[in-house]
Amino acid sequence: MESAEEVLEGLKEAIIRGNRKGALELLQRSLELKVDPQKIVDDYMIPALNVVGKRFEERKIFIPEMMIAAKSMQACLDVIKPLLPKEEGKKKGVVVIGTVFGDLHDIGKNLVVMLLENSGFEVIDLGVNVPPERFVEEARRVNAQVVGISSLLTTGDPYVKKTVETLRASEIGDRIKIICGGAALTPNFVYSIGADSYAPDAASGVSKIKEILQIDS
Amino acid sequence: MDPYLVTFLPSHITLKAEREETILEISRRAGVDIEGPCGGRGRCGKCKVLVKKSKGISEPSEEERQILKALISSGYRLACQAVLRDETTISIPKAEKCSEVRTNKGIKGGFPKLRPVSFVEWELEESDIKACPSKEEIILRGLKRKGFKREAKVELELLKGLPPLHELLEKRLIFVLLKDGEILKIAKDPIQKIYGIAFDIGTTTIGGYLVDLMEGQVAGSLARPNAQRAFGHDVMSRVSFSMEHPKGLTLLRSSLLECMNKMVEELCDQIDIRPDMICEGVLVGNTVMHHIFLGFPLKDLAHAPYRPLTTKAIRLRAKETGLFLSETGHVNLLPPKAAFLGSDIVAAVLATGIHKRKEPSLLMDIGTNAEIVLGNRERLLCTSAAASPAFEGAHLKCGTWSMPGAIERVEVEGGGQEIRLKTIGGLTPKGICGSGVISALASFLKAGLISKTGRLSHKIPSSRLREGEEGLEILLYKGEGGEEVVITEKEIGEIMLAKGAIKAGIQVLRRHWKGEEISQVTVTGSFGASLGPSDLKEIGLIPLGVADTIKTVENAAGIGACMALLGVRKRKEIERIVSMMEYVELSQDPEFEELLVEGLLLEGA
Repeated sequence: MESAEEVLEGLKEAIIRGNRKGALELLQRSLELKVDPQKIVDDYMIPALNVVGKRFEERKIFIPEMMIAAKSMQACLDVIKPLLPKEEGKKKGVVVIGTVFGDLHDIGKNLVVMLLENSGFEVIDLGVNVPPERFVEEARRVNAQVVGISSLLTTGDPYVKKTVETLRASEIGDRIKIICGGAALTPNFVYSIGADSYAPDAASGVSKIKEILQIDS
Repeated sequence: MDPYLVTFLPSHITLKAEREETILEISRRAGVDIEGPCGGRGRCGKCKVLVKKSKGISEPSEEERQILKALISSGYRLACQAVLRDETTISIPKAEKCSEVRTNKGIKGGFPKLRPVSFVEWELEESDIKACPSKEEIILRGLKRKGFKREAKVELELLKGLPPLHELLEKRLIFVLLKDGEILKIAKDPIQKIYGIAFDIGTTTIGGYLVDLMEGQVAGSLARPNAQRAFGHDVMSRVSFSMEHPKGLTLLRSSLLECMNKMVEELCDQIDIRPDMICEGVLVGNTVMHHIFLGFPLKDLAHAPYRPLTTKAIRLRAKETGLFLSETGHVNLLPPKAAFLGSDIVAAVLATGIHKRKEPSLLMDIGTNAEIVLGNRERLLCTSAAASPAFEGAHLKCGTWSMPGAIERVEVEGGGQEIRLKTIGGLTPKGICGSGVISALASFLKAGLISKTGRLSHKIPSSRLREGEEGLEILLYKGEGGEEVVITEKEIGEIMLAKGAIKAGIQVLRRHWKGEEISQVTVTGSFGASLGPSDLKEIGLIPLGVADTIKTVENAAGIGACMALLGVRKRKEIERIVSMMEYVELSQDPEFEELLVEGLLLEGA
């Protein structure tokens, strides 16, 4: 019979490879073997996602594989989350995120949300078609350090600008960090409208947020 | 500031500029073609030009540095980024010149026999004149006498061209052309020939069809690149352009009309007739093109809740729209269904007749966007899936439009030892177009040289597989001058995303459909139809369990437009199709994301 270690390594590998069915089976087996759920998440699942993120940054894998891996991760998280003790641990930071007003696309943004949550951030996802004022209200309400704005369509540019301006003009304007990302945006535009950072894709979104908050890992 | 001169080589076109402007903006005014696929955002790098000399030009932007890298030191700049303020000479690299990208081939037929117009003639009588107080009623009385039962209407415009009554009485004959009760033309002489014109206005290509209305046949056809390409390749970048520039919409509109009027002339030359012999026009196209033609603002098409200004059919005097047809001619704009489902797909439904079949069919127009319709005579579900410009070969490192020299087929033999390429026109490869990329993926998959997750296998001979700037890539072609055509793993990823989105769109419709399985699949659109049906199956674009045979129709939208040209009845049918269609919004479908991820893999399941 295989050892718990083998099963757990298999689980990690299955998530990396995006084998959702396999990952779920191995997760089930790990739980049957009475492995501590927290240990499964901290020592195998999150490291698996980190491997995926790293490979993506190194251009070893690309968006489809990352999405497939992320989906396997999500499926496992859905199973294991109820088994985890209520989290008391300190969060790395609070991020309010949403798709800009006028845009209904959210696949990229959802990926960022998942990656952030698994990197220890508290994420408040405002969904799609978010008016500038809502970003401000929510960021203020939850005392966020970072606001993330996602925009897929090139026609979203004026609203990205408006959102950044509205945030800057608000009372939290001088302490909030703003990061923008999505297919339509360019670094020049993002910096010219007064945002703090630009992320070309989901994986770099997480590292850029860590960068602007000066978090090391 | 002082005016300054800008010269474009090799055409030697010089013009005066009076303020700081980008090279791309000046080139548009000069009528010099520079590609601008990303709409001047400094993302795609396709507007690369060589600045020969300049007395005043901006410093390279961050975007330019990223894209051009070492080329900057040799004087290359991005036309959309570099701002001029003094005398400058610019050379446009040959390979980038879009004027060479001419789809000269006509549009392939497969046209149904159309019902021609009917023709009525009668003798004008004194009693007609006595009984009627106006010219209009005289004509209507004559029609009635000829057994024309329904209430007819005469466009007053048509009567303006008719000679005075006393002259008509001398010759006594009146000739009227009718179609489904609609009067197309009235004359005192026998009408020899009368034509209609149909346009399918796509973002990339415009199809034009000249139809002989007396015979009910397509007399000539033509495809031309949409001149608006200089304002951005994809439809959204044109919408942005219209919003960001005060005269944006006007510029887009005049560029479109100029292009269409040129096509009218070319089509007329083909069969040696005059534009004033064209009395009727039908326009179909995506909703953005529809709005641009009509001068409608585009904002509502770009922002949620994405609503077109109207979904009704529109009939206008041609001369009021700026399209030069007969003085009394009309233009009919067939109704769009939604912001992302234009009258083109509606016309394609008419042409394929899926709204009349008992068994369910799947109809797809594949391009940068994919419009998908699933249904039968009882119900039509439709949606639009944002694929990606990558799917059409744009935005790819070696991507190109389907122009002469573009690789359109790739065959692999001997485990990748031999790669056979087929280019459009049989020329030396200049790049690869969308159908070439799909064909390459299908062949590599079949040969086991690419995994279903899109990774290039190390079984590929090392002479072809290598580490590029953006990860692994495969070398398809290397010319004697060192020019290369490659496909990168990253690009394969983009194609997979596009394919996944389309497949997920089909799956969402199937889940809403809940009925009998699809028995027939038709792929249309000039890009869609260029794809090999077996390639589509190989990469897994068509879900398993769906009809085995895939039919391609090159221009279903154009055929539908021609059908609508020949009468009110077909145009009414179009309106019925629009009201039958139920729009399913993908981005709000809870299952879409899940289905997209499932649909990413390159496999037939």
